[in-house]
Amino acid sequence: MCLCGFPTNNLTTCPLLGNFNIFKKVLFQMPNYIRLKAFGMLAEKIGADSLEIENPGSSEALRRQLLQQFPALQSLTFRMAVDRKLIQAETDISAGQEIALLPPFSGG
Amino acid sequence: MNRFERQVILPGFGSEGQAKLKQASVLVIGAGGLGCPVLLYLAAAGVGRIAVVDGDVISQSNLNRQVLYGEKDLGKNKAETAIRYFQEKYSDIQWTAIAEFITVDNAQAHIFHYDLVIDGSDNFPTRYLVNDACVLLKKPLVYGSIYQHEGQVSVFNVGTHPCNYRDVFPNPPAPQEIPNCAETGVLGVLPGIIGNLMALEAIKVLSGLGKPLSNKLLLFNSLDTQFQELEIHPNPASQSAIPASWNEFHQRDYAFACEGVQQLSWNEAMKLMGQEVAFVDVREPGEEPPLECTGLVKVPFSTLSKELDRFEEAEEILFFCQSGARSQKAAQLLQQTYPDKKIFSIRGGINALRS
Repeated sequence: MCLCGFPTNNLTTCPLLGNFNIFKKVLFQMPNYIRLKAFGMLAEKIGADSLEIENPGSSEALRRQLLQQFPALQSLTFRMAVDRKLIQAETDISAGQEIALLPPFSGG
Repeated sequence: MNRFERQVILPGFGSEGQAKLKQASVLVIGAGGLGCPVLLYLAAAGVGRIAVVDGDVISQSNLNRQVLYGEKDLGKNKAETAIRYFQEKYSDIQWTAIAEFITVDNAQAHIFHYDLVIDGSDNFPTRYLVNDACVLLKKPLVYGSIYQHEGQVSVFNVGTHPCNYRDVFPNPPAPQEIPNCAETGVLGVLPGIIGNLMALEAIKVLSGLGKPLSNKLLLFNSLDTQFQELEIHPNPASQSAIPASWNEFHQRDYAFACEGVQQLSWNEAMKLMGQEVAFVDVREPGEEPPLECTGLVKVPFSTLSKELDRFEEAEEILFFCQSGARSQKAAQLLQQTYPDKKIFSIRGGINALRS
């Protein structure tokens, strides 16, 4: 059954909402992944400098998830950048975005 | 024809750019892995007045990256050695060596006299101190730092919405987070690359050429030769972390403070000497200057955890290292093992003794 009530087993064949259904199908099947890029000591603790993970939805949710998954990060200072922009407050993250995890360096 | 001919004929730079460099003055903080390449290229480009601040001395392990120095320079002050080298090379530049570490007491006086500051230091306390002093003086600051195979570069206090280091990292990390200076290695070419980028940014700011890296943080990874640029913005939250006045700046203790570790100045420490106190140097062999005196115990930090039983007899233990960071970690480690002993770390380490 289509949203509009048209009796069909294949939603895309609904004469009324066929196009919308194709769009909906594509949308819901699109994988909700983000790309993490870790720098410096964070890459060592995570074990990779680049990682694809499921999108937790926001920067704070991502931070919580990372600290849980990689307890070694709990004692480290780091900032996040969403699509190469350093963020200053909780920020929504959408599918396909690149999140950089940035620790301070002091060497010279 | 003069030694700047090849840059004067450059479109966009010209004799005007050269004149601006000639009139400019730069203060380079730290003549180490970053400071050496910065100095080489600022001098070659013809910056008119250059000063170097560094209280450290040259040790053998510096030579893989601190390319101004050689075997004959071991034990000599870095600022003075660098300046001697350059005075012979370029007589048209006004050179000043400041053979001391930058502190809350001397920062304002030193930085005030220069148009631009280069942060080539190697520790967080100095980086935050230099940042805050440059914010208070509104001085352009070229920042660069490295960790293993990566580097960061930016230009602070330049432009209409200027950023500073605290907009990126509002507060220094806890001492426990930071690996010991002797623990992380580096290939000399990395500070060479980052230092050259810093010299480039300084030349751009001073001459007006191109677009400096203001409001941007450049990241470099030498293993895959990748550059990445992050956009940064003034962060209202970090504003409160900067001292509001010089008075507040002078009162600020930028040195690391590990939780629960009692710190002593050298004067306070000297009063304890001669009593039943173990006086322990936790620096690695070869760190300069070596210290020899009766009753001094040498236990390098790297082997400390295996030699904890050496301290069983001592009632009071006094640790020191080069900068006061490792000795605090040593004190923490010992206190966990011997909760009843009196354990101290000497604030600022050997560096504090020298300045």
